[in-house]
Amino acid sequence: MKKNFIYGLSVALVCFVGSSCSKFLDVEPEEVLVKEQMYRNIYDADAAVIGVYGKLLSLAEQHVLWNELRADLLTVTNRANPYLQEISTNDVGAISADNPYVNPRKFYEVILNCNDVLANFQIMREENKFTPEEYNQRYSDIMAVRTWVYLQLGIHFGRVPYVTDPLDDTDAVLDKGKYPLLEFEQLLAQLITDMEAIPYKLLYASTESLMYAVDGYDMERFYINKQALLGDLHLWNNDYQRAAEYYKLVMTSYDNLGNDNFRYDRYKIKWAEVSTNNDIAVGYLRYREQDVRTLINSKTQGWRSMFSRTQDVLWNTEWVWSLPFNSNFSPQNPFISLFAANGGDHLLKPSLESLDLWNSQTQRNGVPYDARRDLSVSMIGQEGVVSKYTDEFSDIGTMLPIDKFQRNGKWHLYRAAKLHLRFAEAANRDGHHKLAVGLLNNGVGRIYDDPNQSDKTDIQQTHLPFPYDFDARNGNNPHYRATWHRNDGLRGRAYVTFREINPTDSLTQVENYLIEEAALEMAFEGSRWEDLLRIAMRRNDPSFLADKIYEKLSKEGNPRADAVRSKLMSRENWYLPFNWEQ
Amino acid sequence: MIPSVLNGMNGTIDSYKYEIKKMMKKHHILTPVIGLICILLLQVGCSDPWDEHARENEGLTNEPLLERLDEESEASEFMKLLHSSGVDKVLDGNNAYTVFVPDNNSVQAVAASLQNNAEALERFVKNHIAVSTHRLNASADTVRLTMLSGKTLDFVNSEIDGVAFSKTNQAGADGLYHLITDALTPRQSLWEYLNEHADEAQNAFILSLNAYNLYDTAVVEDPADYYLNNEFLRNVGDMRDENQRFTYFVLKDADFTADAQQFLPYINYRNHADSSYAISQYEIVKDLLFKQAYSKENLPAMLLSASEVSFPVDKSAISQSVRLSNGWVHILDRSTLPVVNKLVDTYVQGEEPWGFSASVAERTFHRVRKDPFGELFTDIMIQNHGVSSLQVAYQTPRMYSTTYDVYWRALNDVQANVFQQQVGIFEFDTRPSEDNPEQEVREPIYIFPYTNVEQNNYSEVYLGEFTLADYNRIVPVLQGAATTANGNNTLVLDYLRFVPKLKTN
Repeated sequence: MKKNFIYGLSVALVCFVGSSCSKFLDVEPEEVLVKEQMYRNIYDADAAVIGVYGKLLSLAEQHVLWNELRADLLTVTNRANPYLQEISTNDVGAISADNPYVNPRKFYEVILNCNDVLANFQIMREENKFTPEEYNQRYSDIMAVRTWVYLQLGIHFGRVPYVTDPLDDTDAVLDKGKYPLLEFEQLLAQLITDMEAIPYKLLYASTESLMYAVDGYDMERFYINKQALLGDLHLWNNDYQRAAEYYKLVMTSYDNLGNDNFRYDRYKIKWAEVSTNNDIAVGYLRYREQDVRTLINSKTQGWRSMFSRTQDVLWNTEWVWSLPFNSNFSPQNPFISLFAANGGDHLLKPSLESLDLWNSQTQRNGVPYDARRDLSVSMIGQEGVVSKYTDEFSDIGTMLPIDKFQRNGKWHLYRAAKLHLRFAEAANRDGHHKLAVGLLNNGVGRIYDDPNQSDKTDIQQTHLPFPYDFDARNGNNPHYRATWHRNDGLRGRAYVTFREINPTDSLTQVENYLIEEAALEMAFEGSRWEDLLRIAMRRNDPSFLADKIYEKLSKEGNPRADAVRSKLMSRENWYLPFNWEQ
Repeated sequence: MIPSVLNGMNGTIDSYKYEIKKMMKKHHILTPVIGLICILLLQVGCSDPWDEHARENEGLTNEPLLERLDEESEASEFMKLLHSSGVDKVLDGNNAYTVFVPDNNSVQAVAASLQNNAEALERFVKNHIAVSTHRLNASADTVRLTMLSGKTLDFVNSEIDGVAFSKTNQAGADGLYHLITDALTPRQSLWEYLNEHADEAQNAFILSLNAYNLYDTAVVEDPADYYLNNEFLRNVGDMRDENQRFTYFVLKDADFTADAQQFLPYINYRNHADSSYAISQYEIVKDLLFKQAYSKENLPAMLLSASEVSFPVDKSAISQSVRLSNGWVHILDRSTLPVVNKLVDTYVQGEEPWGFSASVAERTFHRVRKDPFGELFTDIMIQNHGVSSLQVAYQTPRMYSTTYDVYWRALNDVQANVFQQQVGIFEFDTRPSEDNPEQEVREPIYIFPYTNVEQNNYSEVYLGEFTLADYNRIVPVLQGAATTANGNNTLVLDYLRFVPKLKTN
């Protein structure tokens, strides 16, 4: 009797304890498919692809925290919880074991999901359930997603288990006997092998069912760009020629599609339309450029509009990869809580270091700061609010939600500016400083131009073989309108003064400028830590990374600034602890 | 856009079943142990916070506050006053209060003075009671408590209004009480002090502003707050406010009069002697009130008044200091503020124009620039507007009747040529034109000659001096060259600076 009572009590307690486990509440809908029913035809395969991207969306928050909050441009407000503060201080030895933001588990869930889909695609192919073309495109896409996730894990954890088996139990990836940890360099080599082996490296063909618009979203830029990813992989591997080749393929991928404007505008960092301001350049009202009140600060015109405009012609000239969040679908947009001051929790804000970077620039009308500051950040009193993620949600002027239940937004993953800066980084390292400076400053055409010569036949072009072949001729007699003639350079498009290059040390100087330009142009978009780490590794100079984190921390009076700097001087402190918990 | 059915479709169900099975197998042996551990954990987990909670509420009983106070032997004298004043009815249990109870000795010391004055007694008792419960504040953060008397007392560093505690956090069902070592006799506010000392000339002048307007353009009287028509309360500081803190200096009658007479030459208001003298007095008192409370010991060497006048503090001139509920009064034996300190520069910002002689909005640019010291500034530039002698008008606050040195900072940095512009000073008040009495015009006071705007000059340029006869506002006008040629009729201005000069005689 007594024994029974204890047993009963114990069982009740176990139930009680068990119920706090979150999985208990994951009630599957009754219509759920069982595995055997899932991969029958092309539509099932498409659903599986979309399902992978759905899971990928759940990594958005961590991706931005890892790549921006760990780096020097983004910091925490005093509303942030201690876990976020740990990431911002970036002392990896002091990160709590239960810090949910550094847990790589979700990343492995996506990887295992990819592995499962890839394995089933192979079975489908063997059973002839879809054509080789259909198989190649989908298989390559999912392989690219998996590679991207692994690259992120490698960048932030250094040593990670590399798993290609479809596992039902996520925890099984921790089996070190079966899945040894790969060092970053080993992982990178493996990822390059994986990606070079994929049978299809282009976007889905426009006739594919996966390219049909869904819920008003054009799907073309929804899928990862495999060539851009390959470019990144080779750039990490310091294989500059290969990197430049892949980047160049992306830059010219629309050259033979559509009309002339496809060729002139898409991924070309096109010049400003000064008379209409219908562009994505920094601009002012024409003939009123001296008046700071006429800065084009709008959701439909100018540089700022690229973050919130609909997927129109101009949007398509810039974005390479962008994933949407929509209130009607899961998962919910994590960025509004992180960034918005009204309707969100305003947990993160621009660092003083990032504001100083913008303030050290001069616009071409003499205004002594970079207008991208005011187009990326709004101020509430003395505190900055990052607006890149919330322009679809809040009003520019009042910063109040337009409709607090419409929490749409985008995960800004890849755009032309990043493509150009990384191409220029590769070109610069491959000996083509002048071309790199042209892409950075005022455009390829102008740096290879001779203004005194009206015949442009032999100028305004690089005269170099692929991938460094750029023809930017823009002449009237004889008439030329070459593919790159609208290229304005990143600083040209951003309306800031051009960098002066010291010829004696152009390689390092140009590279420094390219990385700084990425900060000015793409602050908070999730590539800053990558950039700092890549350069620090390439130069074998940890101070490149450590000094920048030090600047951020010391400017905000963080007493740990010196300590964190000296820790970051050794490579093992670049990597987050691999804490794996529920 | 993601069909949720497909999210995580790989094998969630299978792995889940597997876990259940694992649990079932181990059930027989492990469950009692786990159960016991859980019970232990629960006990450990719960007991700590509860203990803390209990400790925090030490002294808590369910008795009403009044009953607890009756039992407190050191409160007996204060309780007598509480009952006789009738304030005890406030503590009826419908609301929570905190009572700061002075011990019997300190109450006996003041009781005699309250005996025959019911109003003073009530105010005295209410000054010891605050709404809601306030536990002992041992931190250095000041908490301002508003007492039932309407006075606010600082509650900081384990003291209330500088009085220490002898017994703290005694709780009843409807409030708290603390025993304190001295009585909290309610102090006068600065406004009450002023009214009580209305015989002093300086105070009398401030009070006279209740009924007298310095300027005939005074605002419409506000029936809801009669005193806000007092220009001193409205513009310098509302001394009635118990939530603000002030330091107020009082000059001896002779010094106040002498100061006002000395300053009178700077105040020629419409050639009217009485009005001018009243304004001169106002100009003296406006720099004697500061919006922070400083005891004599804590006074800094220099204070800055609301109108940016630096006031040198000479502690040796302070003959008496009075502590008030909302600040301090210091009586000065002699005047310490030299006239020259009152003559502060007036700036007119180029980007804050009042009007234009022609519509040039499309050609008006508000620019941001960085000067050689790294300071950002905003200026105005009007360029390529095609108007000859284009005028931009500005306005100033009232300025003293004296001579002014005038400077501008005008940055010509986007043109390749030097151009000219000029500044004219006009009267603020309009008068009928001599040519056409129907038309109201502003007469010029002084017109400076056309002056070059040199290229890339970030320094101030001295334009010359002019004399303002009347104490009044003025209208500075910036005028472009008399040409419609673009590039030559450009106007640019960061600011105008007017430096008033001391009158020597």
